[in-house]
Amino acid sequence: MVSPNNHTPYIEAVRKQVANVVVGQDDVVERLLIALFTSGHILLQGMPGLAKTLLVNALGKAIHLDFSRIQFTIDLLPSDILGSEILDQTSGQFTTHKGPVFTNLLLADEINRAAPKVQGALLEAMQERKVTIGDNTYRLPIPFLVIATQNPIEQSGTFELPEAQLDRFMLCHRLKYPTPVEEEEILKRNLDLGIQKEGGGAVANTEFDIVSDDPVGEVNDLISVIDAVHKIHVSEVFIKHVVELISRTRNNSHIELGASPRAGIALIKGARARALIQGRDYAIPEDLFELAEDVLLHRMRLNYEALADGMNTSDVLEGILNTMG
Amino acid sequence: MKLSRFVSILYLFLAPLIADDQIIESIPIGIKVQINDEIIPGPELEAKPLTNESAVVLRIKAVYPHGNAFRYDYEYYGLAPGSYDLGDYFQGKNNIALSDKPKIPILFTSSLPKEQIKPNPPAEGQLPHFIKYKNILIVGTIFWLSGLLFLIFGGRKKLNLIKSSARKSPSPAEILRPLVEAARQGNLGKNDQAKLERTLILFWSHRLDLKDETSKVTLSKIKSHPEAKPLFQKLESWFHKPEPEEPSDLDALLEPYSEPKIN
Repeated sequence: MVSPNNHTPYIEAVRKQVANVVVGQDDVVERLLIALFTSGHILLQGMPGLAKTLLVNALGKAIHLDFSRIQFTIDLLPSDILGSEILDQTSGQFTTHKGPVFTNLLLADEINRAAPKVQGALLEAMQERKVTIGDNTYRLPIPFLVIATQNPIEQSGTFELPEAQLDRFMLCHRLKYPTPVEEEEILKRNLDLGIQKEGGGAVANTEFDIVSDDPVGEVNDLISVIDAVHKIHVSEVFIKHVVELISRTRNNSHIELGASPRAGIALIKGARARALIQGRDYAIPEDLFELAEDVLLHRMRLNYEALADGMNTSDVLEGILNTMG
Repeated sequence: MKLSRFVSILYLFLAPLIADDQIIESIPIGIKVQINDEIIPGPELEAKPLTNESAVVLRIKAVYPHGNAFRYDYEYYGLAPGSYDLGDYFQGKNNIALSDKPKIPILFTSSLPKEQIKPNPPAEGQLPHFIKYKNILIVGTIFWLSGLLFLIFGGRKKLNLIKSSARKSPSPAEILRPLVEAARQGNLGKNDQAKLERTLILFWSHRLDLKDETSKVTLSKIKSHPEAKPLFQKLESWFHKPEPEEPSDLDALLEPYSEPKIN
């Protein structure tokens, strides 16, 4: 059986390096690590300015992974993400130009701003972990993690991700504003960023300039953690808890669309990764309760009566979790 | 059969011989008549301006040259019943004097008797008293309002109460008793183990009055409670560890839950 303590220093070092530039957001860092360790994908819902890009950038550098960012807009085309074949006029041959999807960590910023065909192209790559350009199919690098973001407020001119596509995100985490103490720390750190002088000019530093380029480990460390997650013990009793929870989302009188079998798989995978992060070699109900919201909420849809009564998915899920007995 | 055919053939031959201006079709007043491509010999014409005495309203919509004459698209309608000559309502364009005024007889009829302007009042029918429109409105409003008031104040609550009472689930204590008994006798299957663990969480959330907390906070508070902590730690070892250890003091551990006080 795996000893989770072997991996604790590595995980703590990653969290510490991220915390050097991002204040608070421990839950988000944990969710990102869970997604990374289980080869899932994560959708972050939150207002602009919550350090999503900085977080992913810092995480990528700490783990020594390639990082790309795509700002989704209405005029984006699938080839802008996946790549295309370009005619080389000197040789008269088509050469393949791989798109930004060929990376380890892909930040898909404001994914709901792009047209459905672009969302579809990315989600297909996420699912199959391979991309076809022209006649050739290319495998995406391993590990491959998509971190998509969307703004929950501004909905005009956006294309809401349909349930089937949302289901492909293992986790959907709702970012919260920092606490007053964290906010104070952010402002204090910002005061000390300083400036950089170069070529006779000067510019004020941003948080991105202080992200350390030194990784805390090698890709082999990550592979070792991914391997360890797969060895975390999941008891039969825990599986029965998951089945009960999933079944309750399907049989609840307020819910029209309950959690899919993929949600159950995601709960088990997530619980395993969380157990390792917490230094355990087995999953417990606490992991289930902790991850239920991020795994289930985006996969559930309330029925008309519940919406008319002013209920929301979060309250209904809380009701289910609070009455599981 | 043969006679009607003979009349039709005769009409076909005689129709062109009958002058157009001799056919006067009666037109109800106020109904527009549209005439297209009518050739009127002579100089170009225009409609005379309307006066208070005008009995016909004439509008020329389009004029096209047609050899030495002009071809007109126009429309007209009558304001007062009687026979008129539409030619009286034409004048030469740019006040050119007309040597030969066109002759277009028209006849306007009124469906009302002479001098009557307003339509006849509708005939008063006698309906049975109970289906009078006003009564129907009153009865309908009463029904609608009573339905609305029933929905607002009584119906949904009562229905919900009926539904909730019909599927009122047993209390955590009621679920716990047989599970604890089975555990003490060593007959607890995996399903029951899962149910026991969930019910104990539910039991403690009721006991610590954590119903308004989120599930995460609830579990965290239960696990840090001095009385609940050892129980859940032992259950964790028994149910979830790779090498499960059944608590040696199981009977003592579950004793408080064989007859739990909090429902």
